Amino acid sequence: MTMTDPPRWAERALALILKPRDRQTIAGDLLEEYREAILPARGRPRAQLWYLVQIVSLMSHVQLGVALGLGFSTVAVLFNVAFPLAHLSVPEPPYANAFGFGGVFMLFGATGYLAHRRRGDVSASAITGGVVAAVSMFLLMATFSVIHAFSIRAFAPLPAFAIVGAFCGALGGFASRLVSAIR
Amino acid sequence: MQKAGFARSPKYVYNVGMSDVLGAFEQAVLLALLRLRKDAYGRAILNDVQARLAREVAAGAVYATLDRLEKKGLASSRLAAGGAIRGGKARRYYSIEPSGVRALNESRAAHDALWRGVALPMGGRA
Repeated sequence: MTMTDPPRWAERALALILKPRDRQTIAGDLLEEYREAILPARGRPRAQLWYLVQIVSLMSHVQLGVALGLGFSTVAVLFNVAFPLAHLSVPEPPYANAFGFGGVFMLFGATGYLAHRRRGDVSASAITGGVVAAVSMFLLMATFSVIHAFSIRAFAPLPAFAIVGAFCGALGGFASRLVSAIR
Repeated sequence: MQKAGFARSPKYVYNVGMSDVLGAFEQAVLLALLRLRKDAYGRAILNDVQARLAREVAAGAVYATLDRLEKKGLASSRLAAGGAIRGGKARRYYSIEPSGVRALNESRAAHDALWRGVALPMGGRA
């Protein structure tokens, strides 16, 4: 990597999300824009941020769902596993479960909203919400299964979560459609 | 259900199904292909669309639109060698197809028909 290039890991991530047909051409376009226009005008930190935003914009709704699901489950594992193991106490507010699940469902809806903004399609919203729910809940359940006694029954609620995620995602899609109509 | 020939008649242009009318972003991308001609590759199209819309546009939106326009048969593409500035990576050049020009004309006619009879400036808060 040179100072005029985006981070190597970001270039690898870009190659990972692009279809083989576009791998060379789109990566080349972004590299050209990065070197010739963005880096000289904005400096290195902001140019790298620009590159990351472009990567996110190039993700399909399913890839976006997987990425958000991984991000969500990482945060959840930090709060539920890593912090307690490190004896860091996180204060638990009243109605924590209600807020927790409410927040999770809103997150599924928000991903659906985002997917609709990108694709203009409510089915994409439902798929994204479902993928986020399935990925994040699978990782959470897997983590808890490893910590506690492993049981396949721990994964039983997974399909229900995926369906709820798809439903919340679709609601987010309809919300996005409503916002577009009002605008 | 409208027949294509009927919809294309200038007299009945307002009967073009709204689903057949190009979206604003699709029009911006197709018009960029017209303006750039043989220089229409991803980065140039992105910059042209940004300049015309006077806002920053994510690359993903432009590539997704180009992909959709190709699938609809309104645009086509070909590969060409890339230079050192892009690490030798190939360029994909896009061009507008005759059906793309027709779609632009129809969209413009449908748009004009919607505005016909409306005098500006209107008495609003704008």
